[in-house]
Amino acid sequence: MTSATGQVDQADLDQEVIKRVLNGSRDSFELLIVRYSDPLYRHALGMTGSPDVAEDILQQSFIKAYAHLGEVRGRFDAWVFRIVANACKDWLKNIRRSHVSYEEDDQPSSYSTPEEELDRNELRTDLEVALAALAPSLREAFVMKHVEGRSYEEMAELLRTTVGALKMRVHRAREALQHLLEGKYA
Amino acid sequence: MYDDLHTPDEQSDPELGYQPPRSRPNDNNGALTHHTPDREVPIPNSGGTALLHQWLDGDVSISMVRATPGGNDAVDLWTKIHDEAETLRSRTTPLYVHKRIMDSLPDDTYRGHRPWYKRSISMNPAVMFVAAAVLLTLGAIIAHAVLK
Repeated sequence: MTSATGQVDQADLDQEVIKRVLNGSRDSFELLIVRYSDPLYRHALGMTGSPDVAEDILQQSFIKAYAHLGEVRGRFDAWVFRIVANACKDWLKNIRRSHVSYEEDDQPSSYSTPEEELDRNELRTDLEVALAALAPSLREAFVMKHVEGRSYEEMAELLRTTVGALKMRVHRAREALQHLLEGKYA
Repeated sequence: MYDDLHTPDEQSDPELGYQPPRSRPNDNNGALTHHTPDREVPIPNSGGTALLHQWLDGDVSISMVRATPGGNDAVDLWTKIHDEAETLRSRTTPLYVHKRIMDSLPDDTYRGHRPWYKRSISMNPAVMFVAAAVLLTLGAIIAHAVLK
């Protein structure tokens, strides 16, 4: 989380980079990719559960952002977040899902014992299945709050809605996950 | 601070969707196959549930939730979920994705936006030879005119 002053400074820097890109410096766009790809990737990963899909969504979103860069009004990070968030929701609405989960991933394990790793993999799979059962807007609110660790105010600004509406979505998502998981884990 | 679960937005938010099941959808061994319907239904809000949300929002202490009926189980479940979320939070974009994105950007989208005097020019020996010849000729013409 960043302070308001930090956000203003960052927004000014982003505007400088955008100007350079619009003046023909294509390579400057990489600064924006490096600056914002991690939170956007985490959002896409939390929403889709698949590293491959998250990478594709990130790529398509940045290409779209590049093509429409002249239309940025206000903060670039909020603007590009909405592109990624909409792409994730479209994917969730359209895809006929077979088996996808972020266990496809080959990142190294940090678990201390094989048993612990097995337990965590099982929870991860069950959590992914439970998240997949949520409506996209509930999953989005849950991921932003609990995975990305954002405040309700920040979420409201990014999604252009109210804190009250987002609290409602987060609370409904929690209720749903608890009902789906408590039999096995509580 | 207490969460208001029944704000005016509740009725106006078109994206709400979850209806909590009246009975548990899965038993201890059951598969998680329940699908959440996408329509708006109010949440039953018991005191324990409200406290749980407040704890998850960082507004009350864990001991208050544990003191409620079923509170221990709920805290244990959410601690596990949070551990899992923590793992996801530490994830970063694979580096090859940056390169993949840059490679897939079109080259000429904004090239025309740059003023002509700021654009780069490409040079090869033939262009350099012609340019040198033109400059020499111009120089000779100017020198001839001045010396005349």
